[in-house]
Order: sequence, then C-alpha cells, then structure tokens
Amino acid sequence: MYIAEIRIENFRLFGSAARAFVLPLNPGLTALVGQNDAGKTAIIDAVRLVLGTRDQDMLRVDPLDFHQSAPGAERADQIAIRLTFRGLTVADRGAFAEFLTYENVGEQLETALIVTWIAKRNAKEGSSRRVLPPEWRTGAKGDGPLMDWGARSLLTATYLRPLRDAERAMSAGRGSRLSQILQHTAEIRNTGVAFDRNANPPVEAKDLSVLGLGDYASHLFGESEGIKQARKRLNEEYLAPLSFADDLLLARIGVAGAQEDNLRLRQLLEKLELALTASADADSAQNRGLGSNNLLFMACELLLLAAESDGFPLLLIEEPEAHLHPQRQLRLMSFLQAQASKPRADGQNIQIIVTTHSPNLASDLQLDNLALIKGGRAFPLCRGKTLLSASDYRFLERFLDVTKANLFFARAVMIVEGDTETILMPVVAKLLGRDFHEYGVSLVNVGGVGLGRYARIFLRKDPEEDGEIGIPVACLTDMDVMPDMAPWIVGKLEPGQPVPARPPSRRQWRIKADLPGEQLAQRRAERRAKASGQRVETFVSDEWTLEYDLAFHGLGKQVYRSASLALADDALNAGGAVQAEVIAGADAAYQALADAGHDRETLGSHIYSLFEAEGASKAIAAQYLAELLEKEVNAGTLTSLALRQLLPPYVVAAIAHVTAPFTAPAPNGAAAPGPAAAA
Amino acid sequence: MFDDLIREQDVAWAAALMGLGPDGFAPVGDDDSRLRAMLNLDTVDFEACPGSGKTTLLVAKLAVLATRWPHRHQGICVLSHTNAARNEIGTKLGNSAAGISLTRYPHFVGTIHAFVNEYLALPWLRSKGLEVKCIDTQIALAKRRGLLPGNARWAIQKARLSEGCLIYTRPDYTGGSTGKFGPQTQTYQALIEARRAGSQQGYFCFDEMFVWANELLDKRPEVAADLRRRFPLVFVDEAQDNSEEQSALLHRIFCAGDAPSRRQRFGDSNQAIYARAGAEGAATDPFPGAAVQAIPRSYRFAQPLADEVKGLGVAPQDLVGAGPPPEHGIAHQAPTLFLFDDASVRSVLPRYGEHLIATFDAQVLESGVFTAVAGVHDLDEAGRVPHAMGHYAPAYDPACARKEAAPTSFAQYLARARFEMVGSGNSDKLVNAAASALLAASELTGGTHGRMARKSPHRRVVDLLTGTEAHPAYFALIERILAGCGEFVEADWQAAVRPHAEMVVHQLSGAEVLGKGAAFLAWPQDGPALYAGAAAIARTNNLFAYPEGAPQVRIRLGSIHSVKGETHTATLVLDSFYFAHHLSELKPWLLGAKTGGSRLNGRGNVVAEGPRMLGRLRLHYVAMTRPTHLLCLAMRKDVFAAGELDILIGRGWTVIDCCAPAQA
Repeated sequence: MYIAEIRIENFRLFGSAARAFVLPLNPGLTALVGQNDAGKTAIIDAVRLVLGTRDQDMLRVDPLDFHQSAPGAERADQIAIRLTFRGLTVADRGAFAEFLTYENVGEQLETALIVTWIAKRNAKEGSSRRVLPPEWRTGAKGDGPLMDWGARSLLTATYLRPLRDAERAMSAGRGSRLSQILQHTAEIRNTGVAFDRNANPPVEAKDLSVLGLGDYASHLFGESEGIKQARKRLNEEYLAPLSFADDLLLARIGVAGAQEDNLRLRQLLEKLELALTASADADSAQNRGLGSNNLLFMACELLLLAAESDGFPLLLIEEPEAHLHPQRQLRLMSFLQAQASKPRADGQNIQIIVTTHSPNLASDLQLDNLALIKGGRAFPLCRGKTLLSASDYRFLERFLDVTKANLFFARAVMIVEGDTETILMPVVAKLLGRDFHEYGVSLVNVGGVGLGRYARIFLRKDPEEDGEIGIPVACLTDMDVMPDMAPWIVGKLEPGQPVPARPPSRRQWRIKADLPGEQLAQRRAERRAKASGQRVETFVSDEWTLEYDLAFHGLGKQVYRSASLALADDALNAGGAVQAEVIAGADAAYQALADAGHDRETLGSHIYSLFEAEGASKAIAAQYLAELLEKEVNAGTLTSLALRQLLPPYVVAAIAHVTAPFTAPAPNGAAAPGPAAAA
Repeated sequence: MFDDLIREQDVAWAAALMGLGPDGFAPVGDDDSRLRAMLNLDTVDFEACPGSGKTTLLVAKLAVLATRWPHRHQGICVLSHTNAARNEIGTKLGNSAAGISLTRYPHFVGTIHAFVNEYLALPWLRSKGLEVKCIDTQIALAKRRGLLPGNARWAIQKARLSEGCLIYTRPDYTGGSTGKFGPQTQTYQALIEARRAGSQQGYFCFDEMFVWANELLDKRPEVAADLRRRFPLVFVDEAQDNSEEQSALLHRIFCAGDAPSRRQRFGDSNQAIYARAGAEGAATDPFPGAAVQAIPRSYRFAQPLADEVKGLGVAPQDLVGAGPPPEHGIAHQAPTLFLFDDASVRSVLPRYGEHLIATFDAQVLESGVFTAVAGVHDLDEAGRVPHAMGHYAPAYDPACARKEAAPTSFAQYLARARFEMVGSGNSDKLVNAAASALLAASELTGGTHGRMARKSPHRRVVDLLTGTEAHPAYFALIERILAGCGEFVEADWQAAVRPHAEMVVHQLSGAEVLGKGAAFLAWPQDGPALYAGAAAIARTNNLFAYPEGAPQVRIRLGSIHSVKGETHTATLVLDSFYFAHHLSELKPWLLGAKTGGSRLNGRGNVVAEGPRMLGRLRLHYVAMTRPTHLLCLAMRKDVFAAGELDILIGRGWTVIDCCAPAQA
C-alpha cells in the first residue's frame, strides 16, 4: 500500500478548512520542492507524528505547533493530520481489517485505510501538560476504532534527518543505529550455527553464527589461563581469609551471559562500527568525508527497509543532497527511484518522500514525482493536475535540466527565449530598482523552444479546487512581425524586389502588411494565450524583437553603440581597436541616420540591420548594452525613471509582473527626460 | 505456518500455568485425549464432556501459541458465545504475560457478535456514511416506534404485532415479520420507513449487524480472504450454541471455498441449549462436523454421577468420571431426590438447605457453591405447580438472573451490577452501570448522544454534564449509590435517587417530558420483593439463605441457562413446566428405561425423540452435570408409581419427602 493523500489541518503554517493542506501522492517516489519556509519540513514532521519512526528519536507536539491564523490570534485547539492509504494488498487488508473504509469506485468496492491523528491543546489553566495525548482515529470521518500500538507499529516509517551526522550514527556504542539495523538483517540472524560448548567435535569457528562467535569468545574468556589464575589468587589470598569456615566465599570471573539471545546479540552488534573503504582491502581505514558516510547511512537504512517482510515501507528523507556533490546526488536519486520501483518479497513497494533544495535532484526526477510546495499548499506536478499535455511531459522530461530546475525553488520566474533577454533582463531590472536576486526571481532561458511548456508547469488544471500556484511567471516572447519597409533595410529582399506572395513562397518572416485589420492583434493574442492565466503571463514584444523594440522605443543610440561594439568585438579583445573610438564612430553613424528624417520604424529597422544584415552578435551586443546602461545610471546621466520610459512597455510590464508594480510618474513632468532621450 | 508452534515440552508448562500441575494434560491410562487435543492444530471439532476443562484446555493452547506467535500482522481469533465466556477466557489468559498479548492487536478474543461488528458490520456502515450510535435492540426499537406515524402505530397494535416487526433482515430494510401487512399496504411502507430512518440515525438491533456483514461479503467477497489472511487460526468456544445465522456467517468468512483458516471448535452437542424458545441449532456447518475428537474425561464429578447423567445425553458419550476435585477433601455424595406436592412446594428449598447442612461441614458450606435451578424461570402464577422457580421461591426475580438479556430499568442495571461485583468490592461496575442506565434512559427519552463511545459510560456522562446544573446532581447520585452499594428502599429511592436521576436525564436528553424514560427510572413496582428485604431472599437478589435467622448456607437461584458452563458443589434441579413437567417427562431416562435422544425400533430403524423432548434432554443434561459432589432433583411425589422409587434407592439415591415433616 502507499500513502495516497496527506491532509494537514492546524499544524504550524497550515490552517483549517479551505486553508488546510492537502497533498495527493502517487506510489513510489515523491519529491517535495519549494523555497524555504514553504512547509516542506512541516509535511515530513506531520507524517512522522502520525506514523512514528524507527530511530529512537520521538517527535513530540509542541504548543507552538498549533496553527496561528494571524499574529497575535489565538492558536487552534486541535491538530488533525489525516493519511489515506490505498493500494492495499491482501496482507494489508487483513492486518487492518477492523479499520478499513470501503469506497465505491465505479462498480467496484475498493478499500482504503484512513488514519487521522488528533492532538488537542490542553485548555485547562495551570496544567503542566500543555498538549493532551494524541489519538489515532480511523475511518473516513475519524469515527472508527482507535488504532492501538500494535497496529500502529506496522506503519512505522524510516526517517533520515537533514544534515545528519552519519559518522556518529554508524559508530559503535550502546543503542547505535547500526546495531539496530544489523539486528534486523536476516543474514546476521540466519547464517551459521549456534555455539555449543559440549559439541563433539567442536564446530569450526568459521561456521558459527554471529551470536555463536560471541558465545564462543565468552567461553574462551572463561577458559583463559590468565583469568583462571587471577581468580585463583582472588579466592585463595583474599576471599578465603574473609570467609567463615562453613560458608566459603568464592569468586567466579566470566563474561556476563545467560541473557536472552536477542539481548546478547544486540550487545555484540553494538561493538561494531561501520566505515567506508575505497578498496576491498578491509584494513585501509582511510576516513571518508561526510558525504560518503551519508550515502553509507542511507544504504544501511534501505537494506533494512527492503529486507523486512511486514509493515509499511515508507522512507522519509530530508535533503538527501546534504554533503553530496552534484554527480553523486544524481546517482543517489536514480538509486532511490530504482528502489521505489522494485517490489519487496511481500509484494509491497517502498514509498519514498524526499524534500530537496537541489536543482540537480529536481532535474533528474520526472514531473510526475514532483510536488511543489508554496504558501502552505501543495501542487503536485503529475499528469492530470497541470495544464501540461502528454507531449509537454515528454518534452520536459528530456529538456528540463539542472539549469532550468531552479524554477522550482523560485519566488518568481521569468522565462525567456534567447541570450539577449538572459543577459539584459536582470541588469535592466536592477537599474529599475527591481533586483531579481532581491525578489527571488529565477530566470530560465529555454533557448528558443518550449517557452509555453515551461510556463504551463505553473498552470493548474483545476485552480478552483487546487488553488493557483502563488508564483508569478512571466514569459517573454517576440512578436516577430517587421515593419513593412524593413525587408529591404535588413536585407531580407534586394532593393526593388517585391514581397513574395505567400503561398507559394515559403518565407518565414512576416511584415505588418501580411496581417491586415484585426489579424495583427489576433496574432498577438494567440502568442499570449499559449501560456497565460492564473499567475502566468506571456508578454509579447510590442513590435518585432527585443533588440528592435529597444531601438524603436528610445534606446536607439545605445543599441547602435552596442551593436557596433559587438561587430568590433574581436578587434577590441585583440587590442586592435579602442572602445571610445568605436563608440564615437557609432554615434556619428547613428546621428547621420537620425538626421535623415526617417520615421521611427525606418530608423529602428536601420539600427536592427546591424544584427540582421551586418551579423552583429546579439549576445555580445547585449553584454555591451548592459554595460553601457549601467555606466550611464551609475554616472547619473540616466535616472531609473527615465530608463523606464525609454524601455519597451512589455519589458517593463514583465519585470513588474515578477517583482512589484511601478508607480506611474507624476503627471507634471517632474521626471524630466534624461540626456539619452534628448540625444 | 503452524509447524512447531506447540511442542510436546510446552504441554507440561501450560498445564502448570493453568494450575493443573505438570501432568495436567498427560495421558491417563490409555486415555491421551487431552494431550492430543493440546498438540493438534488442524481443523477439528472437540466434543468435550461437562467438566472436561475445555476452556482451560483452550486457554492453555492459547498461552503456548502466544509465546511462539511470530507474526505482527496476523493473529489468532478466539470466538466465544457469550460475554461471560469471553471474560473467563480473558481472565485466564491474564495469568501469563504472553497470554495478555493475545487480548490485543493483532489478535481477537470476543463474542461472535463483537467480531462481526468490529471486522465487518461497523467498517461497512461507517463506509456507507452511517454513524453507528448504539447497537441495542431495546433502544433501537423504541426509537423506531417513535418514528412511526400514529395511524401505523395503531394498525400494528390492532394487529397485535410486537415491536419486533421493526427489525429487518435485509439491507434494503425489508424482511422480518410484518404480520398481515403486505408490501402494498401503507402500514408496511411506514414500517420500512421507520426501520430505515432509525438506522440512518445510528440505532441498530443486535441481529441486524449480521445483515450488514452479509451485505459487505456480497459486495466484496475478498473480505473473507482478507480476514482469513488476518486470522489464519480460529478457535470457537461453546460451538454447540451457534445459531444458524452465526454458523453460516462464520462458515462463509473462514471456511467456504479456497484456503480456509484452520478452525478448531470446542463444544458439547449434548449441551446445546438456546436462549430463545424455538431457536434451532445451526444447519450450516453444524457442530460437530466430520473431524471430531472426543474428550470424555470429566474432572468435575465422580464415576457414579457420570453413570447417572450420561443417559440423558442426546448422543450419549462414554463419560469417565475423574472427579470430584480434591479441594473440599470429601468424596462424591449420594444423589438425592426431593418429593413434594402442591402444599409443600415452598418447603423444597429449606429442606435442600437442611440436607446441605447435614451433608457438608461448615468450611465447605462457607466456600462451596450451592445452587438451585429450574428450566423455566418466568413464573405463570396460575400455571400448574411447579411451573417455574417462582413457585419454589416467590421472591425470585427472573430479570436479575438473565445474564445476557439487557436490563430494562435503572433498578435492573444496578441489580445486575451488584450481582457482578459480588466478592470483588470494585466500584467501577456499579458506577458504570449507573451511567449506562442514565444514558439508556436519555436515549429512550429522545437523547441522541449514542453509546458507541471510546470512553467509559461514567466519563461520557461526566463530559456531557460538565458545567451544567446536573453535574452536581450526578455526583450526588453516584455518592448515594456507592454508599448503599447499589441497594435502596423505596423511600430513599423516591427521595434521593429518582429526583437526581431525572435531573440528569433531563440534561442529557434535552427533553422536557421524560415519557418512557420516567418509567425506566421509576421504583420497580412489578418486583417489590427485589428491594423489600423480604425474609427468604436476603441482601443479594436470588440468593436463598438458610436457616433464615442465622444462615449457614447460601443457595443461588437461577435458570438452567444462567448456570451454563458453571461448576457447583451441589446443584438442585427443580422440576418446571413447559408444555409438560420437564423432569416428570424425563422420568424414563432417570430410571434408566431410556437412554439418548434416539433408539432403534423393532425394524432396526433409528427413531429420534421429538424436538421438544430433545430440548428437554439437553437442558437437563446441562443442569445435572453441574455439581462436583451432590446432585439433587425435586419432583412431584405423585409422578412416581409404586416401585419406581425403589429403583432409584437401589441405585444409591437418597429420597427426601417434603410432604412429610422433616425428622428432627
């Protein structure tokens, strides 16, 4: 069986009723991703409270765990955590027969086990017990019998805490985790024979079981000549003079024994410790680092979990990436996924719930296994829950790599298609006083394909029911329609050549004349609609492309400069050109264009032709443009308000969407146009 | 999975644990029936004679199994017929640490009803969204009656239909007895609607749980496989008493089809008696089945008594009398017959007391168990003497003696608790009985708090009353009840008990008018003797103390049903009347002229006695196999013809004629 749903009410940041936390789960592995304080640990703790864990650490409810709906408000009286188990095997149904809930699924009557954990705050004044003992209720409405300890113990989970001190957990000592794990390992118990001191001929030491070896050693201690002599001396020289003649005191020296098998075995195993070696040479006791020890620890826990033949195999891991370098994180994730899909001897599959902050881990998982935690709500990204289509899932499985996976941990996401946006947007935003780092905005460059697919990760299929993911997402895309005169300016057509009729022509580019009347607006709406709605918004360039729009709206001179610098980039780097001279040349050329009396579209097209016709690198130009703008703002020749007015409106709107809205400039023109605008 | 769970060396340990000494289950001569029964873990039925110690044997087996049981999610299921039997098993298991674990998850020890509720009916009803508040036929029927429209109530009354017409036998609320009302009538529809609405409110009759259990099994047959997985080993105690419904359901859950659970039933078909008149034994999977192992050795009584009673077995068993147990240090006593007539019927009990005093020494009289039982205990005053216990002891209250029947008034709740707490001195029974009674009264008055709570009744009442005016009244009431150990005279009842109780019930039910609840709380008019402190029945109800002034012996009075499974030092079986006088009808068996429930006729065919005669045989076989030392019968003198008494005297019987005054 597996946990199919977690519902948490009034626990820490999770509220009640409509504000309760609900997370549906699939069998196998689920990774909870999200920024800090989203509630990932609260979810793991909630599951730990209900199921208990195999290590000896008991998690207790604290009065502070009771939800507070607003600062200063009275805390909730009762925490309710409900786990719904489905996919019960016949052994599960037998084991929990008295607690089951039967549900009509179509014609079929299916079984579920629903456990509701209830903890109440003690309302009595002056009581030293601040939380009343919790109850484990069953049934859909919690009206079934209470689960007693015996039944609950079948559900116990294995929990691996974050930043665990693996070295300590694996070292020898009383109650060590290693001894607990080994004690439950079949190989330890079932290999070899017990020691029998009367066996004739004596059993070979190598054939003895672990316990047998211990007993054999104890026996040898007793037989040891040194101990015998010490005993003799104790008896003869000290005890005899202290004894009465008719009541002789006699000492016996030996290993304390005669206890129950389990106890002796445990004491024996507590002497063991686990260390990693690189080679099969057992003596190379070279210490490995924290990360390796961490892996070792997890391996041990999994060994125990996979070897058991009863109970519910649930593994909770917080931040498995701790101390692991990226490649090892990926290896660990693949291993966990393989474990989760391998049925145990009793037909159960291990269910694994991990929390992670690692884009490496997140990128290796399929979306079906991810749940985004945001604002006290869970948003599983599995099929049926998002607006992603089947082909989107296939696409994202291949292309959602580690550079893009940071979108799962962002407070806001900007998805762009090209390098220009990637380079320029953070700089522009910062110059506008909307630093992306400060606002926790992740910028994802999808490289020209699948912009909408990434954005649709954030679109819920049923926002009425599930709510919206409270992460603003802005997609930046080009309109890709050039002004009517542009084809000749940017070199798409030879002078005098007519615009080829389409069809039969297969030209990809469009001019405004291709889209008369409503068609232009319609094209814009279609691009927008690819991924818009809820908190996702697609911002389509107002005119053509980002570079053209920048030039068109007011940064013509700066774009001309940066394109010129890009064209001269090799020479500049090689020392064959001087930046100031290139800029001076660019300014002169730009001034000539400006003085020619072109309209804005023609002027813009001419500037843009440096990219389209002359072949200036857009990425390199973007770098220069970013530098130029930073320089101007730092020098005080350009204010952030002035810059905002020179930028294409869709760029400003997109930045506002993922950060915070801009206030409109005062109408009396207090914001005087900067020198750039005057130029 | 059962290999090696019980090993030969465990048997001595278990016998010692049960207080039988290490050889308790060892073979005696060539009789190794108990040893084989201990070691056997196959599906089998044990036909165990009275006093064979089958419950002890069962518990010993369970104790061994408990120490070796390796499974965390599979358990042993132990089904008993009555709560009393369940408690006996629970108490005996409590003697060993491992035994205690059997009373917890994943095991089950309880009645068949409790099992069906816990594992089938309740999960199913909960899943259907029904909140089960209370499973109690009396309360459920009262609720449903209240839901009937006036004209339907009138029609039912006129047709002389009992409240039982509100019990259904099918999950669509149909079935049961609707008398002359067919499905097309308005009254029938009103009945169905009241059954449905009452159930929707969460009130159910005991037997209706089987209806829901069967519905679940119909809709999801895998449930049987699930339960077999959970309980691979099932023990059924007192299997001869299973009704057809119980037997069929258990067979369906554990036995029918593939991969049945291992099932062992313990019982004695000769002792199959049913709580309700006309109830029949099981036709499905009857006890004993094909695989039978007999346990014919009785440790209760001696061979002479075994010889006297074995003829009354419907299927006579070759009883071995290995008793009586040595505790009193005295041997078997000659069976005794008391003869009486209409005038002397009330002197039978005093003469019995006198005989006991003459037979046993003071120490035995103090520590022994002495009873007088009758097959019929509800008295028809005008019936032919002796009709029932009441003819012998006018103060006898049948209601208190019915262990299993739910009490129907506050006074009866208290009386039963007193009966149960005799000798223990623990107050919880009394307090919880009072709380249960108040909750029941509130339900009858219209309260809807239900009784399926996890808390004790007392805690529930306290929770419900906290902060209300009735809270101090409840504690005052409990104080009074504890102070008097649950006994009252009418003046106290009217002055202290009733006003407090009524206040509590007003608060619990929220009702202005108590209605049915008021009658429930009233001083029991119909049985004044219950509390009147009348001469013969002193202090505890249904105890006959003799002699009156300075009692030397206390004789417990009861029905034969009520003493089932018990062991007495001496038992007096009183003749009573159901269509005919029981013991008089059984005279041929007593005299040895007949044996068993069937005989071969002249043509070699088996002729069985009529069902009424078979019932009579079983009932009195139960009664006559109770005593360890002394069996007594009381019969009308005029039943015996000349010479018949001589046969008995010749076999060693003592005859005491109550018509003649006792010889000083």
